[in-house]
Amino acid sequence: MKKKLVFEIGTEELPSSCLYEGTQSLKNILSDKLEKNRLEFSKIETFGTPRRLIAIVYELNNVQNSLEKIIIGPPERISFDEQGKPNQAAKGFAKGIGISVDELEKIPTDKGIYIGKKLFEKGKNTVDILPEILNEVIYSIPFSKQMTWANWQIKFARPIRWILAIYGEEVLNVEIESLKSGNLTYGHRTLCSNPFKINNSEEFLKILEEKGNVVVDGEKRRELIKTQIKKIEDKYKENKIKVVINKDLLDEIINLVEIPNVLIGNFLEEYLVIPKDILIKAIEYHQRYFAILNEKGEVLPEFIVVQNGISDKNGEIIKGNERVLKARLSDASFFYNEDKKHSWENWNEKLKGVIFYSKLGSMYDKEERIRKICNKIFLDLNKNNHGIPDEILEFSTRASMLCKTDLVTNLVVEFPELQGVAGREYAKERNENKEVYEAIFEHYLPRFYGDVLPQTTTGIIVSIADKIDTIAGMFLAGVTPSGSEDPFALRRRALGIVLSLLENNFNPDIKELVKFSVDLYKEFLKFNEEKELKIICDIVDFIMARFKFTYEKDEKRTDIVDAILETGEFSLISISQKYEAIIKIINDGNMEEISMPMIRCKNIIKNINLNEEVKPDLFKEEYEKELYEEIILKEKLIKNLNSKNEYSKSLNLLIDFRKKVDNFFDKVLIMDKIEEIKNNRLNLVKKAFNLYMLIADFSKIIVVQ
Amino acid sequence: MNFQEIIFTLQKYWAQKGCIIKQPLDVEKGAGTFNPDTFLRCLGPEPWKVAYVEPSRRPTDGRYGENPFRTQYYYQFQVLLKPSPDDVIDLYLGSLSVLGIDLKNHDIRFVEDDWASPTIGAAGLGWEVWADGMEITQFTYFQQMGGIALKPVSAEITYGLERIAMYLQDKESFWDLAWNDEMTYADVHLDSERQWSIYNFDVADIKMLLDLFNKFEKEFENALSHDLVYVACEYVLKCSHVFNLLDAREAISVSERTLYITRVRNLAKALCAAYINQRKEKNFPLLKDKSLLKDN
Repeated sequence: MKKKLVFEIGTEELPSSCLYEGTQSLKNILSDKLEKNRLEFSKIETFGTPRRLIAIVYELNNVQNSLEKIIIGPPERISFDEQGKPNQAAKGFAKGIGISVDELEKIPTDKGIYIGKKLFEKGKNTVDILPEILNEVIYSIPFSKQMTWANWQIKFARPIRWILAIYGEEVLNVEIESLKSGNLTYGHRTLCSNPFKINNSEEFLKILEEKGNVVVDGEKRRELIKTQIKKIEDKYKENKIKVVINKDLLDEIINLVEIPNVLIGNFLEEYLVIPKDILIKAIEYHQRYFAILNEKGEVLPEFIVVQNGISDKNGEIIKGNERVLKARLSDASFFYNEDKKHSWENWNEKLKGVIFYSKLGSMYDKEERIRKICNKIFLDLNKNNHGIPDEILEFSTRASMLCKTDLVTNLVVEFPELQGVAGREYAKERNENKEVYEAIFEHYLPRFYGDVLPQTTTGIIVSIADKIDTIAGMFLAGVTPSGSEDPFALRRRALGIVLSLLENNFNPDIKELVKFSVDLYKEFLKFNEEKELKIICDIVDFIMARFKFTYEKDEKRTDIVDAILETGEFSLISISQKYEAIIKIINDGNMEEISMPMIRCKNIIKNINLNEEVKPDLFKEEYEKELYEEIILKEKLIKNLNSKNEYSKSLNLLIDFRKKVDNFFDKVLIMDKIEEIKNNRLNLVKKAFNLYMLIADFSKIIVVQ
Repeated sequence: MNFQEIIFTLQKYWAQKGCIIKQPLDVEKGAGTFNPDTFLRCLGPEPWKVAYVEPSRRPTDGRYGENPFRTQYYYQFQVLLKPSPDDVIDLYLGSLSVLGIDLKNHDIRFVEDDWASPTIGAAGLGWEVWADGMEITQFTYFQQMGGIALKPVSAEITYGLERIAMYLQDKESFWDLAWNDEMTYADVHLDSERQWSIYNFDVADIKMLLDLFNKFEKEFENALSHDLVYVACEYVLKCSHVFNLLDAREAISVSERTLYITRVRNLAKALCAAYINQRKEKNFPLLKDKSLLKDN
């Protein structure tokens, strides 16, 4: 027989992030444990509200599957002595599985007869084993932040206050320290004071929702909020208003309420002088309200609040929230007006007192470094014929020296989330060029995985410069990401650099850029050349790892990227173009034409230290001379093609190169008796190898048959 | 309900729930948490239930009396329940009810807010409690004090008295609050708020403060070397307050700041360790159920 299991962990108010973590882990851990215990079910759903995590297991078998297992030991022929008595091998095996030798059985297999034991374990009743499973589940749910309470030993996101566990009609006995489970659940904290008795697992959700005023499903709460907001949009102002639904905010709000009720309130029009984006953030940030726009996209003096309840019948809730928002906006407008009295110079003076990171100078120093890196990027790009107008250099210089400045404004000190936004708005008000003010905001992009990238040329350059500078500084300070720890989001920053370069076809040499950036820290830190070289390599590897990550994500081949990186190519665009060219060769079935001869060269010269020039006057055979001349010719051609990014043509030249290599290996004996000639031939092979290395180390490319 | 009635009501309520009602500590401090009735009593296995009003000083929060709800001197109502009772949230909600807040017609929210005070090596998890969007209480399960993990865990409930009064009296500024039925909060505090703001930001003698910090720090050592933990505790508070004043005077650079915080924290750590030792030597007299000692 199959029945439903309901399992509820009642808690004090869980933080939103714990709900996401908790419901996910509860589902995974419970289904894993049920499967391990041979309990069949059709599906598991988990839900969370601020006061509970719930798991529903549908069609859970009322008995555990029986276990039939055959343990096979040694072959029969080696298990008995001459008298036919079990020998050491048999005894050892029996002991190992905890039975006596008499219990051993003969097990026929494909390979002959073995000794062994057939085990049969009858399935237990589900109700008898569930309590222990559920107990283990509670102890296994991991939270990124955990706590203890009173004298309890268990760690959980917030204190556990009740546990409900019912299988069909049977109440299960789960014990956690002094707490025993039962058939009682609690409704909404202020709407229903007494607990409800649940008679069977089928009625649980219904009672909780209808009597308890709890909408258990977060997605349903999201829909309820959206529907109610839509209603308000339709009702007010003839449908010409639009509520700004910030997705992150909504994700959080659905987890702050057990039942949502959307209310609309007002604030004084005088606060509308605050620039739009600052005003919206001030509405959203502390209080978790939604802002409302009119048809022109201007902020209206109204806001949306989601109440944890069903009604505001005396209007006191909205009145209270209006009062709080008024105070917040009065703060924001006070700070905004105070900020008007300051100049950039003024703020930058203050910025000198804000530490970027211990021993890495101030935020002002950081702006200076960003400025220098921008200059370097600009020159590099134009060296590669990117044709970036000179004014961009001027804009990026200006934007560099303003990009962190808003950190000391009153507004950002009060609302840290406004960093970049306040700077942009203040720069706009102060008549900076659009490239400059957009860059102040954009240089923080992407702020999270999947966020938008900077769009203005200045924004892109400043963003890359800022990120390289942070990564270089943190690597020098020894704060590098490890495992899941990445406190300064260096991986996101590195990925941001990679994505911006790829999106815009910018092709600076990453290694040079990193070296330049690391060198800028010499003013702040002492480090020797050895450390510098190591740090530069580490950072380049780190950035390249993000680059490879984007390839992996697109299911592209990272072995090819590794093959290209092997040549010391550190320009992402060149790498991706080489990649495409190589893929084409592979698809045409020509890869072996290049990789086979190259591997042949590599095998000959590996482990030999060769760095001498080839001496043509030592050639004795026609084929070595031919090979040499071919290398000289092709080297010139390939270098020229590579500089124009025409890698496919380069590769075709390499395909063509094979016959000369083959001829050489087939017709010339490298290991000549005369040392000098032998060495010259080895150097020639090395030179041939290096020709391939103008594109990639093809020996690293995995050939798929 | 006027301001002083709020205090009376809370005192009576928590007295009924078994708390001893204490009076404020006569030393400047940034919060009720610094009072040894919380700071020290939350350490070790002994039970403790206390409630008291605590005038709190935060020099950098001064606004010369011009901001409606930001002041350098304000009142907290502090409750410490150790160990945290299982029904602690209901107890708290009960206190809101006796203050006249009808829970069914208001939106009471527990919004995640983890608390840490690096100066005294303290950390806890909990919430800000919102009433219709207004933060009226800080609710914390202490996990650590003076760098020492706490067992049992205490629940600390800190009411912002002025904010609750604003909410109950429907006022938009501290200054308009009715202290009793005749006097306003401004009548009682506005002059001193202005004077202290001026002093904290513009007048306080930096040299003297720097000197005091060093002397208080030294006196702490002196007191602790004689096992006088309560005396030493007050010198930690004095150091912390002098540091806050120096901060308001912008007399401390960013890098020095960390250094000062570390110095205060080191005092706090030494103090907490000494307190626990002392109680242990006395065999934790307030702990009736000695079997609980095994867990620690």
